[in-house]
Amino acid sequence: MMNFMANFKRNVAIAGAVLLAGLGLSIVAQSCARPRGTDIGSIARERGLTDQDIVAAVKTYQPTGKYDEYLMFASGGHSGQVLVIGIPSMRLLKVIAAFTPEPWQGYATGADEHKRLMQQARMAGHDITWGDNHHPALSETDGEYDGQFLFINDKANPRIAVIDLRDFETKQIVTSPIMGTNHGGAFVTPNTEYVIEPSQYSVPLWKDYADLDSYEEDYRGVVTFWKFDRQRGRIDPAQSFAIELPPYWHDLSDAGKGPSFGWAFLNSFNTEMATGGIEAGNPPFEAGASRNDMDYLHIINWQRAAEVAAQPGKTRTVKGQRVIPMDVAIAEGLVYLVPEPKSPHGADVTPDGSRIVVSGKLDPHVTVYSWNKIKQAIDQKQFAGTDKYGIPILDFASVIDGQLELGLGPLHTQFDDKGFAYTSLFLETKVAKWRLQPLELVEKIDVHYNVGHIAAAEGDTRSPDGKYLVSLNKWSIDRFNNVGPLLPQNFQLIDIGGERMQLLYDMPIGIGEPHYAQIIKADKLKPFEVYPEIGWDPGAMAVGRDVAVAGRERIERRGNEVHVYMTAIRSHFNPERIKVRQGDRVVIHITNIERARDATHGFGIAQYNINLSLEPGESQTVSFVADKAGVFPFYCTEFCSALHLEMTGYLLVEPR
Amino acid sequence: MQGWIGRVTAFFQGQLSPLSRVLIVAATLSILPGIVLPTWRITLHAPQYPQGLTLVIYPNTVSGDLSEVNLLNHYIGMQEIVPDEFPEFRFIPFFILRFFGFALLTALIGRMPIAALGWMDFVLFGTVMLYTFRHWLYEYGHNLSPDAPLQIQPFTPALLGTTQVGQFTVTSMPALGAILMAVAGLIGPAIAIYEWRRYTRALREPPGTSSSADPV
Repeated sequence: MMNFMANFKRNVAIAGAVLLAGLGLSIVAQSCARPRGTDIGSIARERGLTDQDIVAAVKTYQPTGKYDEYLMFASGGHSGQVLVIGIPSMRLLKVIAAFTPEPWQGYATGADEHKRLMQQARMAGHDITWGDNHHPALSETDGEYDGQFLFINDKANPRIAVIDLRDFETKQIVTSPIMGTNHGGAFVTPNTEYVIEPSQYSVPLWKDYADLDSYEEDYRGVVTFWKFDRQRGRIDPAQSFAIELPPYWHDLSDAGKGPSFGWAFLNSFNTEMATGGIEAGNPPFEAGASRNDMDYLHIINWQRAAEVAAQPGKTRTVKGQRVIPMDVAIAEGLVYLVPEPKSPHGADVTPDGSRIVVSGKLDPHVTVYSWNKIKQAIDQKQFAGTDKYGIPILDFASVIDGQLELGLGPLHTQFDDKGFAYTSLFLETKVAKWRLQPLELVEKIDVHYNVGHIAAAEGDTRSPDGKYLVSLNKWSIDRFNNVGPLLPQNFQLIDIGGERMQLLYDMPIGIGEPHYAQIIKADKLKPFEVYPEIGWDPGAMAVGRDVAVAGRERIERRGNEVHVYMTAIRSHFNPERIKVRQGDRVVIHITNIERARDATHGFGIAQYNINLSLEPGESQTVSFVADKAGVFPFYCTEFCSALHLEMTGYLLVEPR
Repeated sequence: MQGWIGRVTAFFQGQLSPLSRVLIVAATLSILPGIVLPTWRITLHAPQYPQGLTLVIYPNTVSGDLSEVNLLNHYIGMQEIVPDEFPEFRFIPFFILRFFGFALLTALIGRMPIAALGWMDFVLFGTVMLYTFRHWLYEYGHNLSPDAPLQIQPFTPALLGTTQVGQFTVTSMPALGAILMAVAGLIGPAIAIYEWRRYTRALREPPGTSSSADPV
């Protein structure tokens, strides 16, 4: 009986398999018999595309060799990097290494330049090999992107990276030892006088350690104004300063422009100063920090603060950072508060600088503050009171222009060229389009899913371009093929140039959860095609001093240091043999002497954890101790030419 | 026969007409820019060089994408092209200057034998230079290192026109400087024809008639 059943099952299985195979064959035969459509209509039918889809495809497709009109610089989230994406094609053009080693660019994978950079980037005595990138900020001149520099913050380890857009490489990382974490930065003032970095989760400021019992006394928020030296392309920490703030948790910020030039606006939450403790029966932070209906928008006079910081005796230095204490800030009129609906996210200044748009995820409205009214109240000292720390509070009702109900979970706002504002609605997963004057909701569009920031073309400058908006969605759920339980985020391109918004394109982001992005007109960027001169040191942005020169390649022994002056050109290194003794310190100065565009050479040494990327003209130095005896091939790690495989050599480490 | 030789001899002893002198001045003016203008242009096209590579040959040097072309040439073992190593580049500009001076002198003196001599000198120089150029093209295409990573059949890139070398289409064309000099060279025969006609017309007409004095 059992045998019969087993046989029966097998026969059914075989019959089924034959049937399926037959079905498959007939499908194949059918599809072979039917000629594939060559006209748009039949291709669209075959692929199941609607007319709308075809329009979206035509609006985004870039044929080979055509360039995008805009470039988007998006935070790379946990990757600690910056993504460069073409718009409207949504093609990923580059990942700029900022906080995390990145082998292709030879970033922090051996080069001495990056060893110094990573040394700068250490915090609390730790090497930090990740970053939680949030908000990229393009440098501005007169409130417009100028395409010269890009700044990005690392929220987890409060740091700011400075990227030079001549070569799209990170040049500097500054750390904020007085913060626990940051969040609201990086945002720049209209001429990039300062890069603004506010703290998020407050920590003790004036002492190294304080218990949470003394939270209100010892914990503090801070906002740092990093002075940017455009000539040098570096932040100048000595000229920078911070302002002590109450231990609220500070969130996004934006710099005023036009009439509000000289001021900065900074959101906060947890003005309840909850200290958590769910394990001790206290309300968890999520409840404790959301008890009050209102939190405080901070209004900061950074221009005046810079003058105050320059005066003797007005600052205290903590951990190497000059800080204007809160009492000085209050006395000098540097900081004011105005209530804002609780748990706000965005604080966005309108293109003309006349209004500040604030929205919080727990209130369905956007609140539009009038700069005129704020300024008037400050000038006439019309205060509704002060907070616990004595900071004057403006009267909410008398400084707002109005409130507009947009929907659930409004977060961030961008602007276009026609007087419209766009606000992400996290809970509804929509983007709302609304008019600033008079306040009026115009349209909403679905996005997929859980939108955080949005970025419109030059949408936070003095003259937004309209045209395109990207919705930076936190979840993608069902938008892409299943690639396992960790899902990519979803960037959705929306056409905002027409009467109605149209969703054009979904771009999965598979290297981290990006937060903010900025979109710049591509023709504002003027990067190098190759480094201007042979022997270029990208760290100094000039020809290096101790670089390898063609015709003078050599190996020099200086005591137990071996200096190698090496050139790279298609398809050889010179020298090709480096012989040292175990324990020697090896210093390789290597120059790519190519002038052809894209003729990049890599330099990887087997088992020594070294890889450099040498773009045409670039010179790098890598130094290491040859601690392991043996024979280690090195080779060009960038497929440079037909004889790329032959572009190699040997590091011979003689045993002691 | 005797008469014919006599006529030719007499023709060559003649004086140039004002029009011919003006034409000679025009020729000098098209020779002179040749000192600074590019003489020849060699372009190399391959898929991975969408803009192409160009070698621009001047009377005194080679410029353009020389380093990239040299880099590519090393794969087939071609000698490096070093402008300073060509002796021609040292004297060509002076020759051009010399032709300019000579032609100017001819226009001033207006004597037919000087003009003929100058023209022949110029054409001879041009021919020798083209031959030298062709010689170098042959030399570089044949003097290939046996140690080269890529062994190819020796070749001679065309002096004028295109040659296929590997994935490269090499096109060689005269540039503005050479074209202007060729124009200057052609003015010579043009003058000769014109003067010959003028001379034979003068012979046909009896002496003393008004029209033979000056045809212009």
